[in-house]
Amino acid sequence: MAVWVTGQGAITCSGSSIDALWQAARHGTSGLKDGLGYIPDQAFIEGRAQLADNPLFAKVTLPPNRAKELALLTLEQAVRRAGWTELRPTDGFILATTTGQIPQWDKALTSYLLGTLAKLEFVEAVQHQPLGDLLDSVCSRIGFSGRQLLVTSACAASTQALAIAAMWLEQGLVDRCIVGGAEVLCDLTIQGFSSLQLLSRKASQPFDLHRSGINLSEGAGFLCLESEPSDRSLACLSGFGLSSDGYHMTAPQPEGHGCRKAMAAALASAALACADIDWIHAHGTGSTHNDSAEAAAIRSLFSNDPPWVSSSKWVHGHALGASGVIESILCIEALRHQIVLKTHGLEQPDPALHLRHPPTNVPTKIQHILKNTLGFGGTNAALVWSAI
Amino acid sequence: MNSVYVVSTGLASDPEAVTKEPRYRKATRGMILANSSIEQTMLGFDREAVREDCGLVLGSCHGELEVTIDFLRTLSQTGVARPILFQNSLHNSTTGFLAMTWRITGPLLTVSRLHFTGEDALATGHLLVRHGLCNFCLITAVDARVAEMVEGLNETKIRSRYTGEGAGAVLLASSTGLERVGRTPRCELIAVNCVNAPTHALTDSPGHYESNGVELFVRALADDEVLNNISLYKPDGSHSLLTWR
Amino acid sequence: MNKLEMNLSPLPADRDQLVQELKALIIHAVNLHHLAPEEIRSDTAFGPDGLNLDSVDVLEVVVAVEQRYQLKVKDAEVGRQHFGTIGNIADFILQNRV
Repeated sequence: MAVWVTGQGAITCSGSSIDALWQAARHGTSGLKDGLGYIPDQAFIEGRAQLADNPLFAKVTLPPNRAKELALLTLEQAVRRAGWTELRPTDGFILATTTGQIPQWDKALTSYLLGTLAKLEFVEAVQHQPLGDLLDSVCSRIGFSGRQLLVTSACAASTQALAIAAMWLEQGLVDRCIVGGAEVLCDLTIQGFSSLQLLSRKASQPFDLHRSGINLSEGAGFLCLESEPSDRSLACLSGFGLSSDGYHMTAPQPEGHGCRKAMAAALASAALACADIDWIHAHGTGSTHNDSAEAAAIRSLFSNDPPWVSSSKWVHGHALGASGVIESILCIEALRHQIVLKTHGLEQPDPALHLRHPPTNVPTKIQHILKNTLGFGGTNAALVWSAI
Repeated sequence: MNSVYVVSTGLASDPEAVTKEPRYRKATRGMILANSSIEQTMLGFDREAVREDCGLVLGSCHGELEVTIDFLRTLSQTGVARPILFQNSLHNSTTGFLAMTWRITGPLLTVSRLHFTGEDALATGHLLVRHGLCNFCLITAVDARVAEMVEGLNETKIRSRYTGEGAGAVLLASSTGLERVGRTPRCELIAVNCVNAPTHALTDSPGHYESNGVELFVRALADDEVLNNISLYKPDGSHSLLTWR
Repeated sequence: MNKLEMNLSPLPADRDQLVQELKALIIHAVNLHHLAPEEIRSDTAFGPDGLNLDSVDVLEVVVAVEQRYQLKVKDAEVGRQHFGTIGNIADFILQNRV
């Protein structure tokens, strides 16, 4: 299989553009502060100015909702880069999110419980809880009426969204497809991940002997996909694999069986062998269990000659459902620049993991990158990104 | 591309009857509703023959809203973040519970799109089997009533999406899957299409739940042997069209 | 006894009473209501050979113990070491209670 990326956009804690994200990942600048990755206000200001400048978006009114605004601003970047001057009824739109709507109502609940908000206002605020409200609102603001889907499979959501888009294109259900993920920070996830003892107060250290947890971050990434290559093509999505652990609600299967299955399926759908993969851009969250399960899966699949393995979570944190598409954008940039990124934050590799870590950013010939994600509920998804 | 068949269907049973069973020790109302619809769907099937090659797609409009409210309530009133409540609070927590219960190893997806949630779950399962990612796929769409909201709505008379609850489930299979379990299909699922109305206004519809598309499909298959499509009209004027043969 | 009543009641006078109270607290915290307190011994393992609690159940128990006995369990290591049986927890509470 093969579908082609012609446009991409990202707004992350590293800044308001793909370039800001790529430079941060390349030069080792972390967008995290005190273990969390908030998008700076400046990134929104820059995004709004760009949006106003795009005729296709000039009439769009921005909603007073962080995730919706983030989605619209990032989508604009992708569509502009793809050179799309209109959205058609035969286009598709897939959005991935977990937290997108929570800030619409969580504070209203707290205020209601504290007695400072009337029941009427609380009930009205919670009316906006459904995630479908986010997709519906974004699509109606840009006048999009084609095929739509919202995926909310936690950390694997946008990776799955890309796989679904590839199938939609291959089965001829859509002619072109927009795929994006958007996440914002809120008490539910910050306090929730903390209660599971998964959060690190400093920037995460994927695959390190002393890794102590993950960093939650905000962010959005969008890609425009087309079924034929063109002179605007940036890279090719050439395979995907989806699987489930069926093991635990929040912990990965320790030997990484499900993760291995997803990677193997991705290679099979790309018609590639293990030896064809030049680099694995890992999920690598910096949590003890994720990194050891993922490493076990990689060792088991790539037994003889493992490719480079690295993670960029130290740079931009973990944007949950948006992480798959944001990190796919780094894969696409790496293919364009022909550079394998090292794992920033990795000081003393955990010897138990037996992975091949790039000692530095390695300029080398890269044809295929495997992008991995693992999520709560035992959800695994892997993609193969290929150079044109 | 594979043809996609409906092998079996099921509806949720009364959650009150089973909620105290140890296997539901950490389950939410939504998990129990969805699981009971799958149990009915899987009656008489060799679980092992199916699960090895089975995906699962869950649709839920509200997800685990009641648990999310509980988590935030406990946090704001006592300062304590309770791990089990957080673990159960995401839309895909329901999916994770079902994947553990049925030991699913195929693709596992969670979708949510207001009143098209059920239709999207069906369409996504159809896509997976058609594409050959798995020879079986369980689909379930569920929403559980949230006591806090129902009570608030009764008092405030606000129009809402929160009054009803329920779950429906469908087992889809490819022709290879059908052979493996030795079943004749109920029908071949051809397509699921959704058409948005230009405006989205909430209207009163007591007892309605947003993700009821799967349940209505299951009821249509049960009610009429010769029917080969249904249009499901939504409170705001949008509709979906499901076709089979 | 609900959670609130338990928090307001005086702390148990001795280890036996503490163990009894912990049984009720754990049954409540991780919803083991299908078990009677007598069915849980102070040395019943929390893992697969006993109550079959998973790591998140144990975190839930830690949270409940912290709240009831006004103490702080420092990190995952302390949790694993001292939260393997009810007897372990009772000893931990007696050593750390202010």
